[in-house]
Amino acid sequence: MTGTFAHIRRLARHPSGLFGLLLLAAIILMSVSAGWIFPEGPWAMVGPTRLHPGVDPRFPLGTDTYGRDIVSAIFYGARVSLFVGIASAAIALIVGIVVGAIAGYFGGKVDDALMRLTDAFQTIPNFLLSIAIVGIIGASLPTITFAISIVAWPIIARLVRADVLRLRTYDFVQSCKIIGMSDMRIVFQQILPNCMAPIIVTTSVLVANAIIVEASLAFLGLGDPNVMSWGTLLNVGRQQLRTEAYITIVPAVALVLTVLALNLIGDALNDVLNPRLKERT
Amino acid sequence: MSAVLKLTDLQVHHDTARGALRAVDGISLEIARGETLGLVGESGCGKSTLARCVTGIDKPNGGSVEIEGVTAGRGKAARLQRARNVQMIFQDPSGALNPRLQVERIITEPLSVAGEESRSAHRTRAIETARKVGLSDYHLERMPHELSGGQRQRVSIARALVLNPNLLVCDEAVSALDVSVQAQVLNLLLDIQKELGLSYLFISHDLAVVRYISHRIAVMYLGRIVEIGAAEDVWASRLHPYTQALIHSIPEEAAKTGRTVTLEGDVPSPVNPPSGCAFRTRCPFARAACAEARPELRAVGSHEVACHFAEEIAAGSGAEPERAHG
Repeated sequence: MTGTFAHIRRLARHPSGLFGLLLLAAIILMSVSAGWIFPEGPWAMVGPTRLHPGVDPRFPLGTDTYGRDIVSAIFYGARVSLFVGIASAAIALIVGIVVGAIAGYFGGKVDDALMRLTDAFQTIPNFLLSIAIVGIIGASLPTITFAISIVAWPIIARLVRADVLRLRTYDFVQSCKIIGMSDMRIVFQQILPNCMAPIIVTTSVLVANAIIVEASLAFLGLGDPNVMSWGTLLNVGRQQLRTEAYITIVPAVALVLTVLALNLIGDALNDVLNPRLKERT
Repeated sequence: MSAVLKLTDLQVHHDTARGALRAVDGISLEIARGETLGLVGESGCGKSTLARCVTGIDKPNGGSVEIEGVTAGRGKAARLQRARNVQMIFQDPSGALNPRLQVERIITEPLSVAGEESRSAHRTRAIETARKVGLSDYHLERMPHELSGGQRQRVSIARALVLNPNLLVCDEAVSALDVSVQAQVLNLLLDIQKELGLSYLFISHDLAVVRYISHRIAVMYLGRIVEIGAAEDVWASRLHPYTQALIHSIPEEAAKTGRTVTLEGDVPSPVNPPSGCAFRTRCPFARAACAEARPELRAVGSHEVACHFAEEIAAGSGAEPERAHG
């Protein structure tokens, strides 16, 4: 773990990585500060309705059809996006790593059974399952998070399995067996730290994907009705697209920038964590 | 003299689609305290499987492994007990060390698994063991990729020594190293043996290296031992045609005797080995009798050999080998 800080430093020196980090930092700052800057919350009707951006300095990005401040909605929406993105990626990571590591390390019938299960989950269309689950259990942030992660973990499981399968034949793993180390300790303490690079890179894509799915659900009106999501704003703006296009454009840009930031960070991490490129960056 | 390691009729079969692969097919041998047994043979003859069985990575299908007079079991306590007695050094020094761990951690890992001593005691043990293998204190703070191949192999040896085992299994321990480094590591192993009274099971395909380091040599072919005896005996009066072929394939030896015996063909499949003597398909002395009965190890002259015609070969050594047919 001595290399962690060095990695972060190199990531900050990577041009697109730096841009991605700054964007993401801004989004995190927005979600953290939302409560202080807009104590009245995103639903409060604070101004005249359908105020275009730049007209009133109190509402730099204008107001929607109910007179709600769009800047406030964007700030609170960042919270929802980050929560869903990070929570569902975390669940997918935990399930995926455990399943993949066990399948790869023990092999044989255990591997067969776990991989067929993984296949089964991977064949389910991501978005359709989310709609189905939300339709059955009801729309709330935990449900949406669960629905997204249940389709996302197979990607991680496959990655981890492939790496563990490769690493378990290495002599250092054999030597751990010889000294009597337990299988669990071998997998999680010795092998897993060696396959973190692809997992970290894929995680950034998972987070981005989860954010898109959540916004899409909210756009269709299937999001959690109690939280202001960027998708909610998109849904509101849809009906006024010809006259008040900004209601749609502003959250769409926020969404694009967030996903872009995560993808840039993912790409940069790919370079930074690749040992063969170490000398060049 | 008590045996550090005693194998009795050891069998290891791997299940394959085409049937059981007899990687180790009935091997019995002993290694005494302070002794080095060299195990030679072509790749695929079961040397490494034997090593994995001795260290407890693989489970034998039959026969027993006795370490320090105790039959090795499979439970957690038995595994830890075995770890204190038997350790292993691997061929590829870069794959043998976890690239994410500092050298000190690698060396002291066996101590923490064995639940021994406090953290501070680990440090002193690491320094002590590192010195024993010719590493300096500052090497302990390095990562494996910062070390040379020879240094990595020394780390590997230090890890194996830290629990003070009685037997070290060296599986092709110097084969991947440069020739100059090879000599250094071999001499290090000899020095350590002299100092600590360790036994080695030294596995290699390189007969010259095995001869240099071993007290006794065992030659393996298709999961069985075909010749075993004191190193110089086996070398000077090799009786088994396979041993002869192995020695003659060393360029210097071929130049000395003025003739080369090259083995034709490949090692037969261990899934479906030839009847009788497994070596007969490639043996220049093979006769009809070889296909019928499997030769067992028996004392011929000063050592043991598994060949029906060992006496004839011994008497007529140097003569042109006669062919059974055509």
